[in-house]
Amino acid sequence: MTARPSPVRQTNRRLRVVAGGRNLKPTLGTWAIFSSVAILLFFALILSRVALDKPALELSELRSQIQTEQDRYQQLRLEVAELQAPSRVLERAADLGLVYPSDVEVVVADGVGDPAPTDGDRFAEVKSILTAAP
Amino acid sequence: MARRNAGRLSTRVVIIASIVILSWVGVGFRLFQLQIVQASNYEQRGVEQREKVKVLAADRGTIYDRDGRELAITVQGKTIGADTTLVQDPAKMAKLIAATLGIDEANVLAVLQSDHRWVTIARQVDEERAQLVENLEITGIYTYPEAMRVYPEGTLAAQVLGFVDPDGNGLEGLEFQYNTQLTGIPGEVRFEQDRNGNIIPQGLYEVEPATPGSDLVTTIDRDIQYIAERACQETLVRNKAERCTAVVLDPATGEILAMATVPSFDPNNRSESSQDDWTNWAVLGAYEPGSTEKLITIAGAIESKMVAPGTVFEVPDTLEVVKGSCAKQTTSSGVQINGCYHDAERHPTESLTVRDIVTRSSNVGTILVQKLLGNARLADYIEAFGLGQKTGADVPGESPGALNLDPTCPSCFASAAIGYAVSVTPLQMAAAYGAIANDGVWVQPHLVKDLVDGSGVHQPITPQTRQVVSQSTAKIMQALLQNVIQSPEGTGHNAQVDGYTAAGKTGTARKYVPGEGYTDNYVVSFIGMAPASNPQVVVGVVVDSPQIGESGGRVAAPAFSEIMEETLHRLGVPPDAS
Repeated sequence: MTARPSPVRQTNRRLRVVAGGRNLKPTLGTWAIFSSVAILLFFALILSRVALDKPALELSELRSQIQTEQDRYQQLRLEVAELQAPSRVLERAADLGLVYPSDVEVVVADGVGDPAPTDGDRFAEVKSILTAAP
Repeated sequence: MARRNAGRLSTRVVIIASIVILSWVGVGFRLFQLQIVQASNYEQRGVEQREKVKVLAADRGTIYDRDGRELAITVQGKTIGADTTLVQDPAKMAKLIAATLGIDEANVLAVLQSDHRWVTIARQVDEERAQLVENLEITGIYTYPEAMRVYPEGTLAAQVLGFVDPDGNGLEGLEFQYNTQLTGIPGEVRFEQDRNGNIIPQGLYEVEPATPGSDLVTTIDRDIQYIAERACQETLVRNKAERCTAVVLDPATGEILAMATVPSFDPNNRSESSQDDWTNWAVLGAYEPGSTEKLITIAGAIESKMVAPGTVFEVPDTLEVVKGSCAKQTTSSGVQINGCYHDAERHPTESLTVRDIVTRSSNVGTILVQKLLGNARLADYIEAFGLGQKTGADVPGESPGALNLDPTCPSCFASAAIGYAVSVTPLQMAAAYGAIANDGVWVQPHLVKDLVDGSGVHQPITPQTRQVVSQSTAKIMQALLQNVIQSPEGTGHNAQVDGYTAAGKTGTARKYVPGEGYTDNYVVSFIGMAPASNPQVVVGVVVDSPQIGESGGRVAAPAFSEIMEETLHRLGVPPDAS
């Protein structure tokens, strides 16, 4: 029997043995920090979402408010029109004791514009036309 | 033994692994089915569940009077509905709701007891009454907003404005005529909602805004319209008439300041009115005008230089145009013979000038003038003044009237000369008098002066015009018509207007009923203008079948006077007479 040399196990030079491997396990403090950060991130995410949603909600509310105000405006227009209706005004005037004048008197202020022609003047003009021959 | 156990374990592992693998394959297959094969289908279903499209109704345009006062307006009303499966004790609830809304209890009960789950109890109820129903807090009764058309002036100009159906489609009047322009184009809003129907913030929200309908600016003056309607109502009561129609026109522009028909109706609550009341008789009610038509005959003769105001005619009391017509009025078979004409009041043959003929409204004298004018020319002038054809006013269903001017008819032209054998509408006659008031220029009467779309762009309406007679003829006619009112012999004495000179003509005609012929009822009218020195307003009043007073001078002239006086005051026209 011929003795053969035992094969040499090639070692990975990149790996090395270090002492105190147990110390690398995450400690409670690490977990606490990690959890806190995760929770903070979670809340930050919620906050950002809320911050983004808030204007949208406000916008929606504003739209609804605009519609309400527009409806109110239309209602007020209607109310004004109803209040100004001649039939209503006349009724109210009658309730207040206002009456139509029985006679209308035409007063021509001196020196203001041309004096209005009288019936006589007007009829004279008419007569001249009526008596014209063909 | 150990080897046999190891073999069993291996079999179990294989079976379990196979089950797990098959499960995963199944899951994978299902996922492939859902995510790849049917992906678009599920995506679509998801979108359908989430996304909603709501139609945004376009606001119907407002109808204004000439001064921008609302005559028809759209406001938000509420519709009251019910889920019949939730309503307890329908009889009791129907009583409560009916009492609150002021509607028929039986109808409400019938609706609540119907087989349908979702029912409508009342559409377009005003906010106040809807609130009262909401306050009742009845389970199963709900309200939702719905636009409603309101006419704040009630009966005012009802036939002119017309009305819409509950879905906002115009059915009568301007609402019908301008329905397309008033309606606008609906828009839509597309949004995402959660399972409770709430809009998802940050979700899709796209709005395509509705284009509101155009606003209509009418030529109607609300106050003058009221004046005309009130005067007509008083005339109706005073004279126990069937109907009264009044038209107030600006002759220079053709703008209709008022168009009244009484009896009227309230478009806000038209269920209590008859269809007859909805009719705008000013444009649909063709009638034989009687003596108001003489304006055309005389104006035509003067314009054609056939006569002058001073031309004298020997006017008998009776004129037989068709031989034998005065001896008997009907044939042996009962057919009416036309062709015998006489004046309203008996008189011996006398010399009358054209002025006298107009002033006294002599039928025989006018027919003598027509004989000089000739049939063809009379037909031309009738056409030129716009009779027998639609005026083109922007109202639906306008009647053109009718002309019976057959050249072979022996009496038709004589009849037409005094306002028979033709039928006209009050608006046609007002426009014809408007031509005289406007120095011979006929202007198309119209009700709408402007359309304003949602962007504020105006579309003003331009009426047609045509010269009918010369200015001098028009002036002569104005003077002749003034004489009708001013002269003690004139038939229009009751048409005098305090503070103003006025000119006009009475009309009295027996009412013709198809199938019955001429009845004992009359259609009486007065059409005139003021101030006579410079006419700015034309008023036409037509009264159908008055039981008290049977002439235009007695029945229609006082209404003319009242409308004209208040209209001139309203327009600020300075008085021209003491």
